[in-house]
Amino acid sequence: MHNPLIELCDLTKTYPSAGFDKVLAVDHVSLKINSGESVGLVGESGSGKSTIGLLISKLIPVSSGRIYFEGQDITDLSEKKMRSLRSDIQIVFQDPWGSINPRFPIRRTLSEPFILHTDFSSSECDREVKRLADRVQLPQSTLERYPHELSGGQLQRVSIARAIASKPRFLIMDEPTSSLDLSVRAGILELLNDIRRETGLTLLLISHDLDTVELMTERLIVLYLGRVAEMGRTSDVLSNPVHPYTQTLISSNLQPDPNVDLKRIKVNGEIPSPLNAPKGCLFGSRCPLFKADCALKSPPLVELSDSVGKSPNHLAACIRVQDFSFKIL
Amino acid sequence: MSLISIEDLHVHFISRGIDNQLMTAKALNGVSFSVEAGQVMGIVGETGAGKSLTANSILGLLRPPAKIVKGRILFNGEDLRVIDQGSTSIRGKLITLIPQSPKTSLDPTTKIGDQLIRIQVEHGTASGSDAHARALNMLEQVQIPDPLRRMNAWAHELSGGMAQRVLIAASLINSPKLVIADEPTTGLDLTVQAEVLDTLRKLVKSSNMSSIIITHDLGIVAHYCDRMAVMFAGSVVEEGSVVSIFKNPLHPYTQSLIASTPKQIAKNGYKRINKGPPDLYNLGSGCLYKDRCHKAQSICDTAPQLLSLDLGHKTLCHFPGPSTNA
Repeated sequence: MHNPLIELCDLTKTYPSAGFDKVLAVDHVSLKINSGESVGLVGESGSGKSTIGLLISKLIPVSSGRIYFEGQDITDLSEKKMRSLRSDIQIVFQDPWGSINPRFPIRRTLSEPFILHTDFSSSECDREVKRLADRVQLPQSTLERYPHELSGGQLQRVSIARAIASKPRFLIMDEPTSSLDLSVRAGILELLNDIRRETGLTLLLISHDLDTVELMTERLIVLYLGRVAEMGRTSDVLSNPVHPYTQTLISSNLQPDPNVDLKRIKVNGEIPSPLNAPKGCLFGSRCPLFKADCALKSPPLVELSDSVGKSPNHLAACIRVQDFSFKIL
Repeated sequence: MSLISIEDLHVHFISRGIDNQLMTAKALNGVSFSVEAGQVMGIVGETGAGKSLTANSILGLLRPPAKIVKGRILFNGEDLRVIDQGSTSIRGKLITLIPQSPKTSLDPTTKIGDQLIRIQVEHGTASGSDAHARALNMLEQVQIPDPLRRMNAWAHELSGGMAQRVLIAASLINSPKLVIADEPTTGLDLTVQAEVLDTLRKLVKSSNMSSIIITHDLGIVAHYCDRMAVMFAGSVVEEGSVVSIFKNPLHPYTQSLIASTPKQIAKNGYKRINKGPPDLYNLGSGCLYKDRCHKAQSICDTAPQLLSLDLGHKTLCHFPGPSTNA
């Protein structure tokens, strides 16, 4: 068994709040991402999915726990030492308007990675920028333009180009298509797929769109209030969801087909504030199957046993995981 | 007679460039559709297709440089354009809007209850304790927990889903005939979105109101609307019942929209779309979709006629029907 490319051990991120309170944004998350894999991270807003992306790319400090990249502990790496790793770990943000310098023409934005990470001459740099633009299907004329002159889809292509410029091994994409139109979205997903096929890039796709995740990823992690609720192969999790939260999420996903019946699971209210998270199982306050013992302790992630129509590496954090009578869908 | 019918609506944005030349952006180019009482109509299309502009035209919220240059909007047979634009007798009373961003659409300096009461007082539908009771009742109907306490809440104390429920309450409080929801659930989580839409549809259906839901999410249209209109470059390219359009999309643009959903991509692979929306300042003649259409031929340089099929399924295309190079 080779080393995973990325490994998170008991990763926790807390933010200070008024008084002595702390908000647990990411709560003891452990996971591994193997080289070449494409992993989806889904959950509602406030579930900590973007925070995990920021933690892995070391854009915010870790509160406790460790992050390993290729077996090397990068948790406490200094900014200076991290710099050499930056070309390997890249991130594409959700909002292309907010993540590209509005005062740089696109050419300058795309040259930046080469200036930082290589010793290319300016003509080599130019050549690479042109190649990048071709790769993400941006017309050469856009290189001289400023971000406000481009459409959302084009800007997201610039973001992707900038991220793949340094030939990263690991790419984090934080909701790359949620601000885009449907037809533009399909083009971006296709581009990502092509890039993955060509470069064997490892991908972490953060999204709230189950359909996109199903299309793009092999493994899926479902987060709820900063904890992992369920994980496994994408096809297993989506076709055989075990955690009541995953089941709820899937039942709320509206298929673009009027002939698919809606089997809605009713839950109580909305995701609670992390400041007054319920005791024990975090989903307890909304779960239709809640019983008193759910509030006793936080349920561990356990692998599904054979009796539950399991599949390898399919884990869920629910104390009723073993008695399968609770299937709601 | 339809509750609301829009006939050949043209809206232009007329402005002067820095060279003092008049510029005209043709934002709506002959939008026609109608909504019957009790129906939920979905409008889909990409950014810039004119979905929200159509809604704003109905509500009389167009401001210069936008101008209706042609067409009529009939509400119960009355032309809305001749009614005074500042009038509160229709807008906010008989036709209401659920805006897109719940957090910024509530008044941050007025308590939730007072906002709901003010809407009734302004439009003369109720006052005093009646208005208070009705506001409380509306909050209950949109399933806000502990409504009496929420009456005294400020907008910033509500979550996104809760704020959207308050806006639904506000839009329904005067018992309107038509509710226009402009991307009502963008920005809400999946589980919350489904519940907000459930509530909206139930209330609309139970009091025989009509609704127009503007969205770019085909899933919402498929499950919450009865009929749908697909807009492209300021025109309705296809209109019909949701079931018949999903089963048999006739316009190449509708086909490409449905083919762009991840489920369809997983099934049939990626379909290439080369171009963005057309430049509204310089629209060509003929079919507006021809530059992106794989079926385009020379006849597409002339404007297509609206083709009506059975059950009110209409499309604007010279070559309607199943995709040939699917």
